[in-house]
Amino acid sequence: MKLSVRKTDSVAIVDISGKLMGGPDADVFKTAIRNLLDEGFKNVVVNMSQVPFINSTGLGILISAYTTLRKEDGVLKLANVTERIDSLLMITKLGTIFETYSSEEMALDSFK
Amino acid sequence: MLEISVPSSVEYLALVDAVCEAFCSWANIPRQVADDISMAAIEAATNAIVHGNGSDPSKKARIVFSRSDCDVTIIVTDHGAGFDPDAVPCPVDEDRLLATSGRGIFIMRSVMDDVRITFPEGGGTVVRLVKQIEPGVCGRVLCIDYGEKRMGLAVSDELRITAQPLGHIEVGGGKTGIPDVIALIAEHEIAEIVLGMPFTLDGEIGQAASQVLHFARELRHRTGLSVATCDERFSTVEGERVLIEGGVRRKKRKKKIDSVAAAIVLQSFLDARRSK
Repeated sequence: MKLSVRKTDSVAIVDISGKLMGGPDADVFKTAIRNLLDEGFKNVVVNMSQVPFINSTGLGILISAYTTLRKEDGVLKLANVTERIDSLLMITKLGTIFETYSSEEMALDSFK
Repeated sequence: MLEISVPSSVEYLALVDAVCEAFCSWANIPRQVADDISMAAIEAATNAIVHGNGSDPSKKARIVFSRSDCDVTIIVTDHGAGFDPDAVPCPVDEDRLLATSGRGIFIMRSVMDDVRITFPEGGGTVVRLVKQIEPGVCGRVLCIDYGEKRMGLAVSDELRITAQPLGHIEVGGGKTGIPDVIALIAEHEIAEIVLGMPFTLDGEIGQAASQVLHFARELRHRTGLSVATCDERFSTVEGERVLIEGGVRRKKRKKKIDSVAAAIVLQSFLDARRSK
């Protein structure tokens, strides 16, 4: 998995690409979220347009980031999830936890 | 059949996913079904690599893909010490929803038709995942005519065309019959179970039918197989008639009636399925 960060005035966008399946990905993701909180960004959109699939470990990484942000009164939302990831969210009932949007723009608008 | 062995490091999961996708494409599996299969295979491989083999790259996780006319089977084997699959808490319970792990087996069971986790004597864990390509059309069906003392049994052929009596099992006095059923499932490679449903004559669920529903739940839980029910109200009478017409003497009739009744229930179940 590769990760890069873009920022608007109040929301950070984390672009990830590749398959999110655990291993070093967990630390990379955790560090990125921690850094964003240090810079004052509590609201994060994870752009998953370049992520074909994640496994349950990848879900755990997203949940961990979500929980970290929630503790600081922030939130993590998902944009551009593939059909396969969407069905994984439904099966695990995490669709009730994560707000998902079909575009980055819609995800950003949801914070306004 | 296709077999791969990968070192136990999560970076190989992407390779397992790619191989699984390629296998499904080669086997002409519809896209959505292939997605389910890949999802389950990745979860089984993740467990094998991370939990079974402790992410030790010198240990290999073995994955075997195969396809028959009716289903795709994936077998994932690791060298782990095993675990109790029933002790894994349900990850969709409200208080578990934000847990960061513990979803693998739940996902496998959600997307596959049959998930069996076994621990061979020599050590290790074997996870067998089966996805039916055309659900409900292939594989032997076991029919159980539930009774408090005796349960009549019948089994279908692989293509689900005819039903044959298969004797009976004695129950009661602390014997539930479930271990016998589990042994029969392995012996006859049963894909689905159907239980005769003793509705009252008005078609209501009485005490007898409640017992059958309870038994169905227990079977589903213990075997992981689909357990259907089928109206059995007239099967015993019909069974008696079949035996009388066949010239079977009264004493022998008593012995055979349960399995013949089960075969009649099963035949009507198979016929109804085919006419759908």
